[in-house]
Order: sequence, then structure tokens, then C-alpha cells
Amino acid sequence: MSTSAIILMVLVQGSVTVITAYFLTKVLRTPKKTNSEASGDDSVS
Amino acid sequence: MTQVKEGWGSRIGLILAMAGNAVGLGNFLRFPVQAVQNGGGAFIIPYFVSFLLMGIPLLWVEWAMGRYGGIRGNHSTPFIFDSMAKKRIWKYVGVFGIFTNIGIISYYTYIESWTLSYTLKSIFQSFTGLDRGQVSTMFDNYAGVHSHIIGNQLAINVPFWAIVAFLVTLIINIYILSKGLSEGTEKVAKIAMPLLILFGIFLAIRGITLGATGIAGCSTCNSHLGLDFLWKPNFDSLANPKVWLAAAGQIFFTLSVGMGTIHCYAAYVRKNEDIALNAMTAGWMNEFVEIVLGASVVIPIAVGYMGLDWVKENAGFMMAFKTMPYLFNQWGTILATLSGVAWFGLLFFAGITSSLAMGTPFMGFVEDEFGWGRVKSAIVLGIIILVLALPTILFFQYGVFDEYDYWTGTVSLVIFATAEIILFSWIFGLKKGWREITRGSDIKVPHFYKFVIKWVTPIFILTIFITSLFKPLHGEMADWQVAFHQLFSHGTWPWASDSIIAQVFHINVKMIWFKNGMPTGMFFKDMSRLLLLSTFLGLSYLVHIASKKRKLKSKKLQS
Repeated sequence: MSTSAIILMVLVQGSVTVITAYFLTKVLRTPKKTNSEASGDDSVS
Repeated sequence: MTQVKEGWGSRIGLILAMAGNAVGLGNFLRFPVQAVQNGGGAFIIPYFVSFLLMGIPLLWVEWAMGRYGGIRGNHSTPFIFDSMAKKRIWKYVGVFGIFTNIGIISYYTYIESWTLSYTLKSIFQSFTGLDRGQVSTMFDNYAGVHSHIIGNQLAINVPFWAIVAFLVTLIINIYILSKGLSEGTEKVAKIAMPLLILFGIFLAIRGITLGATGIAGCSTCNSHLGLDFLWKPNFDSLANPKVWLAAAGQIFFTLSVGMGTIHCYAAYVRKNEDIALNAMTAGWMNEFVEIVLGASVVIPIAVGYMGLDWVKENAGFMMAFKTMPYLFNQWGTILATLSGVAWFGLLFFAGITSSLAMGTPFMGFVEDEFGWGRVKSAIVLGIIILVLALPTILFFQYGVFDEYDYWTGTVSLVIFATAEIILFSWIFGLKKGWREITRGSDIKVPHFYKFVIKWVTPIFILTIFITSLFKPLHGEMADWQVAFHQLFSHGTWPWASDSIIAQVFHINVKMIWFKNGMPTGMFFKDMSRLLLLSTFLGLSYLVHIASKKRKLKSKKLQS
């Protein structure tokens, strides 16, 4: 493999993996909203 | 309109279902081929630009539209659109959000059934000892419907097991859909997505570490050459509009935007629950599967055994079934079996999580508007799929399958996305729209995206739409210049055969329906269009009836 191909592959695949992991971790760490918080008081439905 | 008690059981379940909706067969089969055909490593730049300026904004817009409609009791795009605009035309534009899914699911379920069959064939080691030609013939015999003319009769030989597998796959889908969102779709996504990623990692490690295979007489049989070809930057291609269109098109397909499925899933999210972070997580998870796993399986493994030149010439969708089992055979019986199960298993999981999503908008619509139960809605959906799918199976080689794919899997998406971004940014209004995107958000959405959603994304999509309408022959930069020159000097336009206008008016094609008393390919093509058009009109009529029912109900309530 050429150096430029390795650099691009590692850079792109590494960044995508890190960003995906970051968002997933953020979702898992965010505390669950209570029912009233999630539904809102002035819910239309 | 009835109050639907459906909902998601957990946040992670919703995200996995949304990611499953986006992750499809294209992540493993379409993306690497597109990258190879459009400049290798340089394709990734227009691809990411399209993701940031069109993909992410559309994800937020569709999630926001869905949640906005859902809290008003609307779980399908006709009435989600209707709730966002005053003009009644919008609910008919929203019909695309049901039509597209019904059209695609009809042929998609058939492909999904191939992956199910091939998983079983891998388990039972049906490919052991077969050479490449035999593996390819096996697929032709399995899925290839042979119809031919005997005397003056059209004879159709239907492959029995392909039909059985299709019916089994359809029944599995309908059964899961009848169980509802949290008990059906969400449970499947929670099992399918982690397994899909696990199988993908296993195959990607194999693809990256394979290296030179030492095949006699093949100097380019090295998986690293495949990776090099895929990732080596070729910056010249950045100036080519064809590459940009291909990249933007790939973003459309891969994220499943412009279909109505995201709206429908998001319609079951509660009023103040986050959508911005959820959309990002599902969207990036799809990118992980596509860029990290999808790019590391088919191309490197195929180059490892078939050589670079063969892959450049033959890279395409059918490689999944006609070539991959032969390549796995090179690894010995046990590893070949494991790899076959992993490969076809991940394709099956990718397929089923997408087909379940495509079934949901129709169910949401009939449950909301006609008060049908889940089981009834699912069975009726199954019957519709069966009726629409049969022509694609029976007349496969007459181009019916491709016709469905072109109109529902390509044209409809662009029309729908163009309409929805105009509706959201300009008619509903970005001020209200932005409030919808950011309400209850667990991340800070960059303000820069206000400008992007109002201006950049609509221009991006309109450009795709207009260039798809008027695409000249070959579609390269120079071809556009030649086309305009020809227009101004001769008053004619060199249409590409796949431009929408050339397709609609059959430009450069002879309109012959019958030859020697027998139907031609054109006949089957036009009949497919008629069937799809009838489906669209039928759905529009249902929306019309539902609208009248709503008005009547509202009058009764007032009096």
C-alpha cells in the first residue's frame, strides 16, 4: 500500500470510529428524562 | 385519526432501529464500488462534504418533522406534511413517503430472501469444493427466472426455492411488523445491529490482513492493492461533477433520507425527547458500518484472489452472491463456512432492519387514519408487497426489477427530499424548524447549520434534482460543455439514457411493445411504470378519503 493511501485510510476510518464512539457514549451517559420532562406539559397528543 | 399507543421501549433501541434503517446492503456493496469508480480515495472528500452539508441537515430535518407530526397524532408523511403547511397539496406530496417505501420493499424483500437462503447454504456447506463458475451458475439457477418463447407462448420457469425463500422472508417481516415497534422492530434491531457489526469486524480484519495470496499467474492478487486502489487519493476527480453527484447520491442511499422512514420512526418520539444527538448517533453509526467495515470487505478480499484488473471490470452488486462464496472457499472448509455465515448473515440483518423500517410508514398511515389494528395493517401490507413483488420476480430479466429501482429507489427520493427541505426551511419556516430541531437536545447544534439548512442543503438537493433531469450523455464536466454547445448551435440535447426526462419520454429508444406478436422489454418496462403509477394514485386516493374523514370528524366535534 502506498503511504498516501495508508494515511488517508487511517485518518478517515479512525476519525469515523472515534466520532461514532463519542456520540454513542454520550447517549449512554445522558440520564434518562422523566416521563413529564419527555412528554412536556402542553403535549398536543 | 386515532390516538396511537405505539412507542419506542428505549433510547438505544430507537437509535439501533434508526441505524438499522440506514444500514443496508448498499453499505457493503454500493459504497466500495462507487468509491472505486469515482477516483478511489478522493471520492471520500465529496462524500464527506455531502454528508456534512446535505446528509446531517436532512437527518435533523426529517427527525424534527417526524416528532412534530407525531405529537399531533400523525405517523406518516402525508399528514405530517399537512400539519406543517396550509396548502392541501402538501399531503399529496407526502404520499411519496409511503409510495417510495412500498415500491422499494417489494424488490428489496426479494434480495433479502437471497441473503437468507445463502446464509443457510453456507451453514450446510453447499459451496464447498465449487469453482468460481459453479458458484456463479448456482446463483443463476437459484434466482434466475428463465422465461422464453416456445412457439408463440411466453413460458416462465419459476425457481421454486427462490419463491419459497421470498415468501418465508415476507412472512418474517410481516410477523415482526405485526408485533409493533417496541416488541417487534426494536427487539430485532437490538439483536441484528450488534451481530451485524461483529460479523463485519470479523470479515474486515480478514480483508485488511489477507495480503498477497500467491495465486499463480496473478501478480495483482493482493488485498493491500485493493485497499490502495480504494484509498489512494486521486484529486483530479474532485473537479468532475459526476464524482460529486455520485457522492451526493451515495449519501442519499446510505442514510435512507428522502424516503419517509425516518419521519415515521421519529413520529413515535415524545415531545421533549432529544432528536439532535439521536440523529447524529444513528447517522455516524451508519458511516462507521459503511466506511470502516464496508470498505474493508468486498474489494480487498476480491482483489486478493481475483486481481485488481478483474475487480475494476467486474465490481458490482452481484459479486456478493456470484463471487464471494468462491473467495471464502479459499480459506478452508471451517473458515469458509464461518465467513459465509458472517457475510450473508450480516447482509440479511442489514436487509431486514431496513425492510422493517420501510413497512412502518404504510402501517402508521392506516392505523392513524382508518383505525386498523397492527395485525390487519401488517397483513394488508404483506398482500400489497406480494402483488408488487411478483412482477419483479417473474419478469426479472425484462428489466422490471431495474424499473422499480429507478423510479422508487432513485427518482422518488430526490423529488421527496427536494420537497421536504423546501417545506421545512421556507414554508414551515426555519425559525420554528430550528426550535423543533433543538428542543430537548442533548447536544448543542451549531448555529452554522441554520444557514446550511436554509440555503446550502436546498441548493445542494435542487442541483442534484436538476442535473438528474437533464443529465447529458456520460455526465462528465466536458459532456455538460458539449451539451450546452450542442443546444445553442443545433437546438438539441444529448440525453443520457438514465436522465429522468429521457426515461419519461423514452428518448433515443424505439417504442415497440410487441414484436412478432410477443411482448418486448419495453412493454414490461411500461407496464411496471403503470403499476407503480397506479400504486401512487391509489395511495393518493386513500389520503383523500382520510382527509375527508378528518374534516367530517372535526365538524362533528365543533357542532
